[in-house]
Amino acid sequence: MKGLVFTEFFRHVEARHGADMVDDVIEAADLPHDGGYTSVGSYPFPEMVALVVACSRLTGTPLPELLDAFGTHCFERWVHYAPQFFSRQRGLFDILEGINDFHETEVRKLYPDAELPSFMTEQRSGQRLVLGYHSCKPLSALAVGVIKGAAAHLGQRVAIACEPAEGDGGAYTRITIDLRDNPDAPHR
Amino acid sequence: MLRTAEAGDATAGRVQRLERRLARQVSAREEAESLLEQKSLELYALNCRLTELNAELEQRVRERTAELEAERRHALELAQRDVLTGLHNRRMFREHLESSLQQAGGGGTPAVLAIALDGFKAINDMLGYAAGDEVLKAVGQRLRDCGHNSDIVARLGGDEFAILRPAVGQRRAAAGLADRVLQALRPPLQIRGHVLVVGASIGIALADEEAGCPDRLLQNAAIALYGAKAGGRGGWKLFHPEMDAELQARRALEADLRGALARSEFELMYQPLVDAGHGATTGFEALLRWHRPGRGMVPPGEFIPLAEETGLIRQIGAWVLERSCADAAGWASSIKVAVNLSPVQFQGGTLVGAVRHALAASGLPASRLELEVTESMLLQDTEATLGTLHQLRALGVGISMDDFGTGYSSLSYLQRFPFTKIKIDRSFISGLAQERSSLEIVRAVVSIGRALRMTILAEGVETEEQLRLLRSEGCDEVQGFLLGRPARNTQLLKAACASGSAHSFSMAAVPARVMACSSPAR
Repeated sequence: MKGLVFTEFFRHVEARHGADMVDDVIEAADLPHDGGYTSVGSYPFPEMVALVVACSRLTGTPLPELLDAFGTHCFERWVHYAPQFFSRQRGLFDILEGINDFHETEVRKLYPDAELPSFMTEQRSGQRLVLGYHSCKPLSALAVGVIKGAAAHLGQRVAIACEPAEGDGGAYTRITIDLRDNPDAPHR
Repeated sequence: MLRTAEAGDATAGRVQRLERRLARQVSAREEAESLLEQKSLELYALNCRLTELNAELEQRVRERTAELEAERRHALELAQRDVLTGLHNRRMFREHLESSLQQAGGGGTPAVLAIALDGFKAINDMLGYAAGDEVLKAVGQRLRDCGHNSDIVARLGGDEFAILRPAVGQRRAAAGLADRVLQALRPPLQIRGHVLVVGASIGIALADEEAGCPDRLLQNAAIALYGAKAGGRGGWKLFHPEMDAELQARRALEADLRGALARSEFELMYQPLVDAGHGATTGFEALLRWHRPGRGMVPPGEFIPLAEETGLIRQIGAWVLERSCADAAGWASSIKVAVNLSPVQFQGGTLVGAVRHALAASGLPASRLELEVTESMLLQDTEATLGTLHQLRALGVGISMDDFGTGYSSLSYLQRFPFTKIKIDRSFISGLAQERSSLEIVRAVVSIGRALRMTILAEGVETEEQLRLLRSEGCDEVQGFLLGRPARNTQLLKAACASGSAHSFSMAAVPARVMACSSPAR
């Protein structure tokens, strides 16, 4: 896994729980090294699992909730990094369907060997978008957090549902996003 | 005390925490630096590879550019060259002409030689296009070899060639070049087992104030060429403005000639062939005359070459055969008729049929018809010509070699072709009394004829002295003004009647009386 995910995770934990929590999580994860991560490096996925589990335990936050919040953090960072992909002029569904493009153009520039997840549109109507979330890692909760981050970015209320699905490439997660009317909702 | 100790522990713990955090950040930084170095090395290697690839690419671009340039040059060359001969084509010739006209100054003026091969069509017709192409190639090479390096030699199309000499000092220089061209083309060509003599006619045009544009100059050269052809071929003519008028006249002549047969404007005159020994008339040579409306009598030398050139000679020749056989059928059975054949009549394979038809239609026995051919005809395509002559001979007609001694006079022709008679050219007879050499030649030809069992006839006999010498040399027959001028058939018949026999002619009767009322001789 790319080091950027680790450093973003620490940035997220620090923002929510302070710098000491980052130290505690690293120490509690019982890593085979001293816990120094650099964004351009690559590290074993089990180290991330150990860190997330340690964080969940130390902060008392359930794992799905933790990943959900981290997903939202990730989306906010993407907006910060490449705002042109996530203009508020675009609709939520367009932005979600454009995430693959963002990955392929912006992320691959710096991390050509990154194992990136993909969001494949299965169905789209005015009110509903069904995405297939394909990833080699069990991080659908993180994907849901990303979608929530996007909705919050546009001030759009949504209802999100996940279900396991099976396709040609094997198991994946089907995520259904329904728009909820809330034209006067404040920007979150 | 306890509180102080706890505070100290907390501070120590804080310090350790910060030290570990710092250590993590240092190790992360070191790792990042190491990755950065690694990336830099990778980038360096990639850059080297890119430089290499770029160099390779540039090299390929250079090679491809060179290839394209070579192809472009080749295409340009093709556009500028005549593919068959490798000479310039008409377009390039015109361009060179244009630029040399622009540059013409103190060094002299440009001269154009328009060159056409004589009898090339016959080569194509008889030996095929492949042989024709070889002839054109060989001619192209000879033309290239006989000029200066600065001359532009082109094939304008068909058997038309041209030479541009960018600056000739004087007319004489252009004429000299024309002479050299004719000389260079003179040696026979060996093409596919055939020995071919390819003559040429040349028209010369010099740039002057009136002919300062390329097209005008080319046109003038073409007109001069036409004049050269009309003047009997094998020579050159320098353009002069009157030639244009001559060309128009020639065109009018051609137009009139095309309708002459249908309008019955042709007439045959007959000149006697006389036995040198006892003076009896043995036959008559048919001579063609054309009464051109409004112009009077046109000499054969003026219209026969044109008729040959246009192919009209085939129809005219067939008419001559028919008419002369029909006339001869009315003569005494001992009198033959001699008919001249044009080389063009040998092309196309219709001659034997025409002869057979003329004999059948007139009822004239084949043995009373003599066909006269010239050496130039034999040069064309000996195998085909030989075949035709043998077929004619098989019909029973006689074959005479006309104007013997003026051409190549190859003895091998006499051996190979089935001649029954040799006609010694008038040029040897006129000097007979004065030049010993003429007498020797006549003596030699008579002896050859005797050996080959051919009749020997002397043409152009005009004096008693010539007749006496020819008789003493053993010449079989004589022909000329002394013996009789050409006369119409009606005059012959009248003379025969007057001599007392409708079926016999005598030297005494025909020349003396018939010729008194005959039309002017040729």
